[in-house]
Parts: sequence; C-alpha cells; structure tokens
Amino acid sequence: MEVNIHANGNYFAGIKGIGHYVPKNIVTNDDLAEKIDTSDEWIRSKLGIEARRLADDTEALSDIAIKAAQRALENAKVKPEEIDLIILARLDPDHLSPATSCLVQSKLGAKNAGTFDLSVGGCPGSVYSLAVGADFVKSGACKNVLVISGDINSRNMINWSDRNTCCFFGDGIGAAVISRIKEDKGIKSYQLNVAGDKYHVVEIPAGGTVLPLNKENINSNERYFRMDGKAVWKFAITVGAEVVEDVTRMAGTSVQDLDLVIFHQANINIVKNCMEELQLPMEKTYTTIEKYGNTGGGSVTISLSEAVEKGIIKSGDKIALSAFGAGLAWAGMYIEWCDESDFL
Amino acid sequence: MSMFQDVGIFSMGSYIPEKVVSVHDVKEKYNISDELINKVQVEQVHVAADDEFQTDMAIKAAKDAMENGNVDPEEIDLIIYSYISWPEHFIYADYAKIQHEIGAKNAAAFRLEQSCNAQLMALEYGCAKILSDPNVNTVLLVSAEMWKEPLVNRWTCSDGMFLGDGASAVILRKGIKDHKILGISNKTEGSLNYIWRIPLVGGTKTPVTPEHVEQGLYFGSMIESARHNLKDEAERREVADKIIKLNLQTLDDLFKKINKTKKDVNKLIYYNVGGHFLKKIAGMVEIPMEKTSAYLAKEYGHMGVPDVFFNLQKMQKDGKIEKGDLVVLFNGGTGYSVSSAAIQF
Repeated sequence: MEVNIHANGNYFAGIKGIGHYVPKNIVTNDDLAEKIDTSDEWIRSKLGIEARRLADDTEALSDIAIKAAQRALENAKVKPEEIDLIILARLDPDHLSPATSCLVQSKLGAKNAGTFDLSVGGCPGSVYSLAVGADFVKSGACKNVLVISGDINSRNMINWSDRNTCCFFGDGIGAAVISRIKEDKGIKSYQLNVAGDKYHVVEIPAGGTVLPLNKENINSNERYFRMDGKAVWKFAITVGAEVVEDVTRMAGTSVQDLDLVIFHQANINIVKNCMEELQLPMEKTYTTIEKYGNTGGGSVTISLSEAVEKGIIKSGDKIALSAFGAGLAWAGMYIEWCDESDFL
Repeated sequence: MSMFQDVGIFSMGSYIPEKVVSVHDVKEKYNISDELINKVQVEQVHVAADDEFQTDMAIKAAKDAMENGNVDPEEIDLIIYSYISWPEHFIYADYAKIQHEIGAKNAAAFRLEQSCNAQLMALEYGCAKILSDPNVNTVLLVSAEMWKEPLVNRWTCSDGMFLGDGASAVILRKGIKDHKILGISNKTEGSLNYIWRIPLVGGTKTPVTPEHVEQGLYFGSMIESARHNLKDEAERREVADKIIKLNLQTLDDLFKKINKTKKDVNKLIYYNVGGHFLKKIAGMVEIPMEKTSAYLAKEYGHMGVPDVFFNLQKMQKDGKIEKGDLVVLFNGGTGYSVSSAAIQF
C-alpha cells in the first residue's frame, strides 16, 4: 500500500469504475411459497420483492467478490497491480481467519495492495466502505482503492423455514474503484453514524464466545438472523431521508437539485417513504429490490452500478446514497459523477 | 501553514484480566514439553473471568485511554474496533456497543478485520481520516481478544506462542507534537492465505454442519491448519522464506518513507509471540533484545491484536521509552499480512 501520511488532504476522490455481480440462480416468491407459508402477493406488497438471487454451493464470498471487482477494474481501466488498498465490507467471510480480502488480493493479482475487511452490520457497509476508501484517497495515503461490499446472506445466516426473515434477503456484491480526481467534484461529502444504544436490534446469537456452536443450538433459531423489524423500520424511515438532506447540505447544494438518490434496498416501502419525505418523485430513485431482494451491504453499490451500466447516470449528475441497518448504523454520501477526463 | 496538523498518539489505555495461569501449571494437562516452553519463553498468561467477554475488556481499555488523556467521550469522532479471535456472537454490533457504553454518542464506529496487525491498519485509517476530514479531530482505536474453549485452546493452538486475554486502546489526535506518527507500512501477501485457515470449517467456503461440531472441527488450531495445508518440509521452507521477505520489505518500505535507517531505531515494539521469533525480528532490525518489548511476552503471552499498543503503553510506564526515541512497531499474521509504524517520541 502506497502511504504518504504527510499528505495534506488536498486530494479529491471520485468513483473511476464500478461493477457488480449477482448469482445466476433466481428464486421467485412462488418458489418460496411452495416451501413456507407465504405468498407472492404478500411479499410484493409488503417488501416490493419479486425474486432474489442465491449463490451456487460452489461460490464462496471471495468468488463473487472477484467477479464484481474485475468488472469495476475493467470499467475503471485500472490494472490490479495499480491498486494500493482493498477494503471488503461483509458479514460472513470465506473463513473466520484470514481476512477474506487477502484471498481477493491474491485471486485478483493485486500484489501491491494492502487489505482489510470491514464490518458494520452488513447493510450500512456499502456507503461506510465507500467513505473509508474515499478518506484513504483524499488524505493522500492511496491513489487507487478498491472497495467491495456485499454478502452471501443465504448460506449461514438465514433460517429458510422462518418466513419473517427468509423472504427478505438475496446474495450479491458491488465493487468500486476510488481514485484521485483533478478538481473538487466526485465524492464531495459523506457522513457516518452509529446509534450504539440499539446494538442488540439485529444479531445472530450462536457461534461466538458467549454462545459457542454446539449439538443443541446448531439446528436452532439461535444461529440465524434475529431482527427487531419494527425498530429497524422506524429507524430506517427516520434516518434514510435525513442523511440525504445532511450530505447534500454539506456539499453546498440542495435535495431538489439531486438527479438521483439510491437507498439501501431493504423494503420498497422504506424507499417510497424516504422519497416522499424528501419531496422527490420516484423517478429520481433507482431500485433493484424487485429482482435481487435485500442484498445487505451489496444493495447500494449494486444499484449504483446497474444505473451506470444502463446509462441512467451521466457525467455531472448529482447523486446521493443512503444506507442503514444493524448497529444501528447509517451513512450518506453525495457524489458529482465524473467521467474519464476528470481523473488524474 | 498546512490545513492539517500532524497526527499523533494522545493517550493510551489497557485492560488485563486479574487471573493468571502459569504454563508450568498446565504443561502436564496439555502435554507441553519443556523444550517448547524454553523456545517460546512465555511463563504465564492472563485469563478473562467466566462472565467477562471481549467488549467488557475493550470498554475498560477505552475508558482507561479516555481517563489517561482526560478525553470527553463526546469528543470522539470515530471508533475502530479490531480483533482476530472469535466474536462474542456470530453477528453482533460490538463496535456499536462500545460506542454506547463509553458514551461516545457523536462517534461513527465499525470493525476493522485483519490479522494480528489490525490495529496498525486501523492506525493508518485513523490518520487518513484525520488528514482528510477537517471536522475529525479524535479517533479511538480499541482491541480486545479472548481465547476460550471450546473454540480454541490457548496452550495448544500454536507451537510458536501461548495465547493470553486482554485489551488495549489508543486515542489519536491532530496536532500532537510528542508522539507523532511518522509513517506506516502495511503489506499483504494474499497467496499465503491458505496456510492458517481458522477454524478448518465455517464461513461461506465450508459452512459448518452439526457433524463438524460433533467432530470438533469448528475449532481454531494453527498447528492443525498448517499440517493440513502445507504438504511437506520444502513447502514450509518456501512459505517461511516468503514471510521473511515480506517482513523485510515492510520494514524497508517504512524506513524509506520516513527517510531513516535501521540504525536510527531506538526501540522495537512487536507482538508477544515466541521468543525464538522475537529474536529473529530483532535481528532484522539489528537492534539488541533489551531495546525491544520482548520481556513483556513472558508475562502476558500473545494477546493477538492488542499486543503492540499494550506493549507501547507498558514500556512507557516502565520508563523504557525516552524523549526523542524513534519507536518502531511491528506486527503480522494470517493472510499473510504485516504492518509496521514509526512513532517519534
């Protein structure tokens, strides 16, 4: 990792390339309704999800991370050896140790990159990791940072017989290359927050030092997601819009000037609620929840990547990102989208 | 004048559990040879109480650092929590619990996961955050480890160290003249990721099953992992050579960045692994053992991520660091990932 700790923080940072990967295996609401007591109508109306993608048994987190990272590097026209740092935001790694980012570094051939994994409750990880990556570039510590965020939620964390959680989630991952730009645009402002008093609202109790896995709990609900849905909903509709207002104000602009807002894809009704709160039409958001479900830390980056891929985002567009979830933690980011000529 | 002032260590804190267990008291139970005890040179480790967990220790270390620096919790802008051992629960917002329990209500928080060098990676991010954001002035780095059965056996996990419990914390601030961070070097050789995969099962690669739990495979053993993943002595040597090369590259890179040489180093502070490793690393820096933190390994064992900042604070308390000393921190581990930092006292 190229480090210059005495840099004066005079660098500007932008997203030079972005990519995503979702597994091929599609599971529809009807598929779920064949196995558990639910229905397509209930899931569509309550969550806005029509289908989700689930990883193949042969795919570990590093495998899907590589695919998203390679797309981001191609789009950025940055070679793996030009990457100074890889940050992988995730919940469930390939192995408890070593950090999965080490596997990603090796598989990508990013031989000059330092690496670490970042964990912040899954869902907020997308914007949190983009902000951490931007800090490394803005400080002068790095020229190019590869930020990857997402999870295989389906494998170890979801009880597929629990309709209160299994309908929500899908697998997927996004990646972005953050690099130095010439002038003050790109990633202009961001905000990271934690409401620590709600640390217990989302958790998987079994599998650590307090409650080690044993014969009794390995088949119990204690080894799967537990979520206080009401608390998360109340929190999301409060902070989801608020953080967009904050980061646009910090960047010296206003919500009404935004071209696009991308929220964490937890529930379409949270997105609608936040857009209403911001007094913006639904045309100014882009969603992927319909086809991918809640991909946790992947959702914002996947949606941003897809919007870029479809030509919805163009150079100069003013974009706000908003992510929220376990922690409880939330984060916002304001970006003026750059084209190739903006980068150093 | 620069927009940003230099970044340095403002205060440090730690927490070590009271209970002490001597290797001599357990050597028969765990079949630990005198030869291994002589090689590792760790006499005892501290062990957390039955009702004490990682965040309990991390919170105490963080409060100690705040008290030592007279830092108001509401002044903290960012908390970075790190460890390498098991979490308290499989999914748990432990970083958020620390934020809440110490009253740092204005702080962002997350967990940074790497190997035993995680706190030096966190040090780099703490510096980057302070340099890049004029509104950020105070960053807390905190780490805690607990090595507990049935997940891991602290005495038999490795043949190069014995594992102790404990926590350390550091508060970074802008404009610190006394303990300035001169430079940091972090390197990863990801091709060595396969050697120590701990535990042998678990995660998205090999999801843990009831059969794994019954067979005791969801268990952390560096010896078993290396035995499983390294096919012969030739491969062991090849891996050892790569690790030594990366260690040297990391130190060379650090010296180049800070425009110093090995001869300028006054103190070397590293992890509390076996004495035989510590001698080799001191040899790389060409520094006599009495100018290193090696004496602390004997009393505390390898705590994992907390080692370096715990040792830094302890050496300062013991009067072993003088004004004007150039102190080099060094730490590495699974991945393979290695870090080094230079602090001017």
